Amino acid sequence: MIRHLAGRLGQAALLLVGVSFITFILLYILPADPARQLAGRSATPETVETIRQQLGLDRPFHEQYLRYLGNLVQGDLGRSYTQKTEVAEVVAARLPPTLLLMAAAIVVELMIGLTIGVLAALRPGSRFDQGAMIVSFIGVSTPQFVGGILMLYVFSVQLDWFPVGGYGTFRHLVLPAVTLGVLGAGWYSRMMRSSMLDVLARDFIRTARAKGIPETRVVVVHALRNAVLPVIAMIGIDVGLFMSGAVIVESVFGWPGIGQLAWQAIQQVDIPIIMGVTLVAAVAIVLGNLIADLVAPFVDPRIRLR
Amino acid sequence: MNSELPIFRVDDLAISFGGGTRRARVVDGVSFHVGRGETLGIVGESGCGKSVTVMSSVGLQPSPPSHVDGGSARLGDVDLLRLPPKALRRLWGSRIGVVFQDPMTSLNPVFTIGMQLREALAAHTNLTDAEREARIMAMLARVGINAPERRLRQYPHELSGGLRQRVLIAMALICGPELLIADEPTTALDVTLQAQILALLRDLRDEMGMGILFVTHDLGVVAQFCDRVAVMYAGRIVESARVDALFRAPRHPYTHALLASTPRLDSDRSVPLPTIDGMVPPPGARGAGCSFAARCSRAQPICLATAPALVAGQDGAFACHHPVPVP
Repeated sequence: MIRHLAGRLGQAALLLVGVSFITFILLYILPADPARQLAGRSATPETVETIRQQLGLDRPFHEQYLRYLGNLVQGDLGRSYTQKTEVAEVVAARLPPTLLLMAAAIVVELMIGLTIGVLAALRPGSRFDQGAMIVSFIGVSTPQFVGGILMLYVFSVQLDWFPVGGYGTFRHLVLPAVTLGVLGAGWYSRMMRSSMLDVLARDFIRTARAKGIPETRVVVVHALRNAVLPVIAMIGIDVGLFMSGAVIVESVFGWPGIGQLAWQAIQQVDIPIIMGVTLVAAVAIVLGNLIADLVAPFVDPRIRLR
Repeated sequence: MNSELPIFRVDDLAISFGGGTRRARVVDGVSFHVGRGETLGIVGESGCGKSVTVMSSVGLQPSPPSHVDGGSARLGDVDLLRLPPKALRRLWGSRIGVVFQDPMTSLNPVFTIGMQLREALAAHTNLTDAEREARIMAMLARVGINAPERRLRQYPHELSGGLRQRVLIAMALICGPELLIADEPTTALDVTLQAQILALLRDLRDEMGMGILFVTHDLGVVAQFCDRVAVMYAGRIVESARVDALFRAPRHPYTHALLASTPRLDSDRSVPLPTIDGMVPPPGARGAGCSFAARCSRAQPICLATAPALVAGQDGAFACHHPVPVP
């Protein structure tokens, strides 16, 4: 168990170096010039050159990268070009909203996805099943900006139930969380349905039924516990995705999270922020999967960590 | 052991599968009964309908895809085929116990043995925790599981196949059922374990007095373990008799061929083992005549025209126009 954890953390460290390297290359070869961006349109070439030197962008690639990596190892993510503050501080300030939105979105996904998946699996081929799978398919195929804007229009503009955007109260959380949750629930319902169908056909379900226990207990206790395993792995993946991928929904709803920060940083070619956000997302993906792996043995005792 | 008053009696059971134009009768006109402390073997090839017959008769065959088209299945004086699901569920596990074929897949892998046994008992009794544990311990000891306290905390994958089948037997019998359904309970086990499990079932039957419906394709097991036997072919019972009579003088040509194709220690090894040519006709392709006629060496024109009825003979009953003569 401890060896497993140590191994995983070692892998994670290597992965972070890899991610930082690739992102760094991509940003280096980008035609956009952060120095020019910072200096503004009317700046003289001399001013731009001075800024470039100040930022160390005139140095060769390997020097720039090694300096970044050296600082990173010491826990220093650098300073933002535009905000003149530590990247770590900027990112840390954006974490709570993103974590809150992520947790709320996953709760919505699970409530909708698991319920629909289980009910559909109990009556495969029924009208409910067919309808649920069509709706799930629409959900996973709808772009987030379409879903988000639709939600805004109906529930904020027309019905005025929720604020149009912002952050702070539970009412602000509802629309972005429901948008992410409803659109993502389709993955869960489809996976839950197929996993549940598979489990319900196994021999031990017949054994449980033959004991004369209520059918709801057969489904909820005996089948669900077995069927939920792939869902746990999926939650782990979702944690990583939402940390990095809620960009669109955060922008639509003006949610001050990591995604919005990334969006702004990209527009301003604020390389240290982009690097910081990318690394946080990579850490989140690793952590999400690690947590899923650590939880799995508690659900299925046959799984042992080596 | 035998009893005049059967505890479980199935009459004229008919089952079909599928819907609409693809609906096909798979079991037709099947009748049998089991007495207290008696074992009835139901034998036949794969796909002859033996498991479907037995599971449908106690309501455990999922429907759809199967439908019971007619007949009755009486446990005491209740017809199981006409009971609502809730009432059936009260009988499963309490008056009807079931042991399934594959012990490796018949226990839930994510729950402890203890939880799965407790659940079986708790579903039908109002015992205190202490009484329940005592009963579970006694039952595990009775089925030959040592160190039961430790086993209760273990998960199925930590137990061998033989132990798992003992756990499943304990689970089926923990409420003291009148009827035990054993659906090929030894097929997935190796030969030495088979003998142990059969001996255990026999002892438990003699002790607890339940009737056993024993589904198998293994005539050797039938000879060792059963009192009476019903031979099924293509969804019908073609012959039923006491085990000694059936093995001594099979009357239906199918039974005769089946026995002839079973290897014996004293058979002449220079002669190849006889086989039954052809295939069991699929459910949709069963004509008006005897379903075995196409493969039968004794078939006459009448066999293809009309299906023979099951008629009672001296030692049992058989459905054949031209039975094998008694030697």
